[in-house]
Amino acid sequence: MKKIVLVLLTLMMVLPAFAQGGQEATTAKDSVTLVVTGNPYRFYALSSKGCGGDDNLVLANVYDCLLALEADGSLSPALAERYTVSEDGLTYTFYLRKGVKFQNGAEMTAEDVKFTFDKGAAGPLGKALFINFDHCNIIDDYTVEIVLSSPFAAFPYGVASRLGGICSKAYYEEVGDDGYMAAPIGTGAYKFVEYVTGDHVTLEAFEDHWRGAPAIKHVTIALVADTNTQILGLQNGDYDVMRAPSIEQCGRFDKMNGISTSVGDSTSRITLNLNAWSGIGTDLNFRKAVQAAINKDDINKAVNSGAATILTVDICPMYGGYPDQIKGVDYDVEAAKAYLAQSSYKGEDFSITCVAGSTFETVAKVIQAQLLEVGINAKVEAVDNTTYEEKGKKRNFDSRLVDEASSLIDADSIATQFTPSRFDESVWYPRAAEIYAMAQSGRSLQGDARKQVYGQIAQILLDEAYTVPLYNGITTVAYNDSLEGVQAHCLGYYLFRYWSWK
Amino acid sequence: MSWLKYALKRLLMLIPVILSVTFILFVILSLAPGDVARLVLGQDATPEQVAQLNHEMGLDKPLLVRYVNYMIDALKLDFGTSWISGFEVLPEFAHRLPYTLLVSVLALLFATGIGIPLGIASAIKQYSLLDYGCTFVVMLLFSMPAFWLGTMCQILFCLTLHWLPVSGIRTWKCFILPPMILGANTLASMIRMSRTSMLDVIKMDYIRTARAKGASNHDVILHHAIRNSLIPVVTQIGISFAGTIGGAVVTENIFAIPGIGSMLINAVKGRDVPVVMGTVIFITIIVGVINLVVDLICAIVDPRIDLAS
Repeated sequence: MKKIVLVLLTLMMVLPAFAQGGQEATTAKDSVTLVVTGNPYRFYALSSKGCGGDDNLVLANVYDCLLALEADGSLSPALAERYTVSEDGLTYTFYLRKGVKFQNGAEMTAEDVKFTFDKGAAGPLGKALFINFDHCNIIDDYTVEIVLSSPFAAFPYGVASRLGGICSKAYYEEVGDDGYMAAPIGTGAYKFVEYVTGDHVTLEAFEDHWRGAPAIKHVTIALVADTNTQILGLQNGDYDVMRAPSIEQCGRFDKMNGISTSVGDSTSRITLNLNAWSGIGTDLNFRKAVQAAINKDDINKAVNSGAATILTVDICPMYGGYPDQIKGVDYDVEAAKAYLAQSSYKGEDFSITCVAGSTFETVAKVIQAQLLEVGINAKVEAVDNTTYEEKGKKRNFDSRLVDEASSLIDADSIATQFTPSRFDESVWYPRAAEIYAMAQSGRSLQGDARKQVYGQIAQILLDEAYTVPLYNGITTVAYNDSLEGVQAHCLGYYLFRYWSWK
Repeated sequence: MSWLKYALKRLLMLIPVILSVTFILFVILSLAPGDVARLVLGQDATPEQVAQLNHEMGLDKPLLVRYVNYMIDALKLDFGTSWISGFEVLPEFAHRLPYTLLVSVLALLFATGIGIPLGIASAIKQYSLLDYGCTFVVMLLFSMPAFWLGTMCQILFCLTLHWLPVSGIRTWKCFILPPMILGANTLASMIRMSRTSMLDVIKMDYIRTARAKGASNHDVILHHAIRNSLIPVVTQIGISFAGTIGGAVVTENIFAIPGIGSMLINAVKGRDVPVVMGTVIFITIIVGVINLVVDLICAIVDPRIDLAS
């Protein structure tokens, strides 16, 4: 017994020798560890396997596009110093930067751009991101022409998307699809080093990057599923940056020494989509009653601590073609009651469908309280994710909270709910065909003319109360406040080249 | 050679177990609502693309046909590729298994290395302060769920004392806390089991006889009581080892260990049928083999056990 006690006491004395274990693991000042929940694993966007949102964490840093998508959703020159658009909107001419090198030392030329666009357009993401792409012409080594089959004003956003990351044609011919996926190279500020499945991805600074060598030399993307562990790790110094903490967590971080947060607008818009094809939803006065009864500020305070941007129309302010001339529908309880009195509503249940356990369940509960206040017998229908998707697909709902994200940061995405191939005609919005045709016409316009078209569409949606735009989605990041340049990007990834230690 | 015959018989018995487990799982996964192809392709996919992927994945065939095809491929060690990330299941499992085994073995060493001596000591010193203390610890460890205990230990050892890293597999220090959390429940079992077993043994006649013959208390415990008291404990170790592999699902998630537990939980979340099926088959085999090994060890430790019968 004495021996056991002795061993335990010895252990208690020896263990403190490991003190600072967490801090010791903290990376040196030219390295950063970013902790994430999602698992990036596809590092080659041209692959037949495609790629998704989490892969952007790697893709956005290993590859450069002709144009760069900045954190606030704006476009800036990247591999193309400038570009022009023909008068008919069909031909985009890109003038490439000279002396840009791939991470294997080869120079990037127009051949690589043509290879990327030809292969990307033929792949699984081509139809979604290279919309209306027809072909690519090489004018000379540093000039390419991209020709569209019909005009699409948002095409530059596709150029700046994950699919637009320029790949090396020569390297592809040497290693093939699988080789490129296993050891990707681009012209980006960071070189891919390794991916340890389920554990981490490592990137290393590309010293010959055309913008100059990045300040942070090593980036480790640690994959940690448990959010509590992420928070504790950030506090402990195991991680330097935490991706997408909740707004409540951001509030807690802001009260802690040594941790800062950044909150920005994402490209998603949160709306309440109303049924307009069956039941009480066919009554315009009822839909208008719902529209006027919703206090968006209260919702924003309840779920985002007031941090999100309120939407007046079903288009994010950062989208190209945003119609800032349109005024939204104000919260007005008396008007809502008046609309309800004029409607054929007889007190039946009105459900608000959302995903159970998500933020949107809270949103639904706030809306429920607001609708009850005007006399609508609202019920929250919180369901699992699969059921939610099924109900959306079949449009089997009274109203449904929707988080509509857009990779192409453009007002064109307003037409998503009205695209003919997506839904059965029996669940069609009465003016869907008209809206879709207008959106199609908007694709061939530039500048203020586009704003007019999308403004008209937004006005129809408000007049018909098909959707109630609530708020712009938010994107967040928490980080060690000795780091500079960390910013929440609208697409949820980060551009490590802007980061540096103070 | 009776043990070899016994081992073969037990291994053969694994076949119906695997068939039952996989069939039940296959049916449950197939009955879950939602369209897997649409889940993989996203909401923007056209019905044609969804139908094409369903065809490629064989999801347009009847359930029984799909199950039989899967099991035939599995017999050829082809467990398919992940629907979500595209990796092959077998190499991925082989890559992750060592982490799970390492944490599970360390958890078992922690639980047995501390639990058995404490259990024996509290039996020898029954109704002492140590005995009451052990009983309290056992109740405490049994009643605390792993996810809560894990977080509390992270706060204490990582955030407050700065002794250990919060998660990961970068250094050997990362492998201290996870085995402790994973083994906490087993530790409680070991203390309780070894205490009870020792109390039974020291009341036996042959122990009384040994004492009557003038053997010292130390000799009686060390040479006569311990070996016999360990027989049920050995069985418990085997059962606990199988349990720790299951428990690794939670622990690996908390401590970000890329083992089969975290792989399984991600696959279940994503309805990644090939990964779930493959992982469950491997775990069933591992647990079956562990139980067999435990039975064989018991036969070695206790000569009264006759495997032939």
